[in-house]
Amino acid sequence: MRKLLILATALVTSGELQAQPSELGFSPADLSAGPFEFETAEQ
Amino acid sequence: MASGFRRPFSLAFLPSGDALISERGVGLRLVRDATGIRGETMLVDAPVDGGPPRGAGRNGGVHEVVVHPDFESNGQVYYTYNANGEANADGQATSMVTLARALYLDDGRLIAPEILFQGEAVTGQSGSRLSFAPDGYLYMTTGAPFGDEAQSNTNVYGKVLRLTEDGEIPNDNPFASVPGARGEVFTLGHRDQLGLTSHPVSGAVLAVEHGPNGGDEVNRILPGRNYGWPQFSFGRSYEGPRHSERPLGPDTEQPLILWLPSIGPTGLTFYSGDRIPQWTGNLFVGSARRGEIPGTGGLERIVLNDNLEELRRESLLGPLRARIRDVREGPDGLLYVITDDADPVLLRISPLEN
Repeated sequence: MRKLLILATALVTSGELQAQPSELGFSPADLSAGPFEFETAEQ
Repeated sequence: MASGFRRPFSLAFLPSGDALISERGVGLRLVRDATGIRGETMLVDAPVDGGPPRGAGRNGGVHEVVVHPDFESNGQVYYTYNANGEANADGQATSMVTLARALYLDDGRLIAPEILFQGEAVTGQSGSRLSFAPDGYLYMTTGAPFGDEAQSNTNVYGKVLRLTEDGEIPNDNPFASVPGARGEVFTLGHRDQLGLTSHPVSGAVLAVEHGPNGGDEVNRILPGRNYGWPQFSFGRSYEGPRHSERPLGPDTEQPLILWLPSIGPTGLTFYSGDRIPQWTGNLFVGSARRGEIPGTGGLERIVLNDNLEELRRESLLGPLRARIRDVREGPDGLLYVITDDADPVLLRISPLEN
């Protein structure tokens, strides 16, 4: 077993924030800034 | 990169690689080249012409969209929505869960819509999902209103329904011949089930269900079984006390998979592709948030044995702080998720080695 590396790539975005951090209770990531790389657990 | 999503909820790929996406309560949108294989991904600005009617209230309007298994030859698209009903005797707005079918044209329009099924007018219902199972029938989840309707087979809410592709009642449905019962009912005792899928090999039908505050569960849907809600739940009320003294009754079907605390499960699929061979056969569940904490959603990967018993699980995509609403396999054998919340997106999940 070994760890897997994956990419998360945004293909379509909202184009603008539809809620502010104060409304959400957290600071959202900019998902259009990817692709984002992740290392998974051992598969 | 295309932009302009509002409240995306359901993702349905077409064989061409385009996709229909429901914007909850609003309508359907078309994404050209949704897998990005041609580098021409584009969200069409206007809602799909001929799509479901706009809804009223928090959960009104469209929820689910799927394509018929023989879409390439028949062009049929199925969708669910909560149709606006008359105000009840107390002046409260009502709605009726509705299943409809329309014909998709290559220019992105839907024509010849027809209502195949419609439930009773109720207040406080939630979302619905669809799955064409290998047995040839169409399964449909319905949300439970605030009362105990989920325990009665005389209404269609808080249920999994089983229909023919024309919306008719199969003769072998468990309550098809029971006087006074709704023959569409296949299982009872559900809360809000926002994910539904079928195992690609065995044909087992699985639904994922929100508990009240914890007690989210994946259930194997078996004819005539009762899954407990609202009499029994592993969850707690939002004020803290247990929802029920015991999580299961003597005749309650146990969940296959359970989450305590809640993950806000939305979207459910088996991965059957070979582009990520380490994941072939795994079950994926979208998560809106964990333990009632905003910004903690992600994607759950669950490894099951041949009896659908859980072996291990893993949480993915947490650093994105995304509220995942659906997860589906694309025609290219990769996984795709859609998110709502601050910045709704369509995300492609691919192995880095490729």
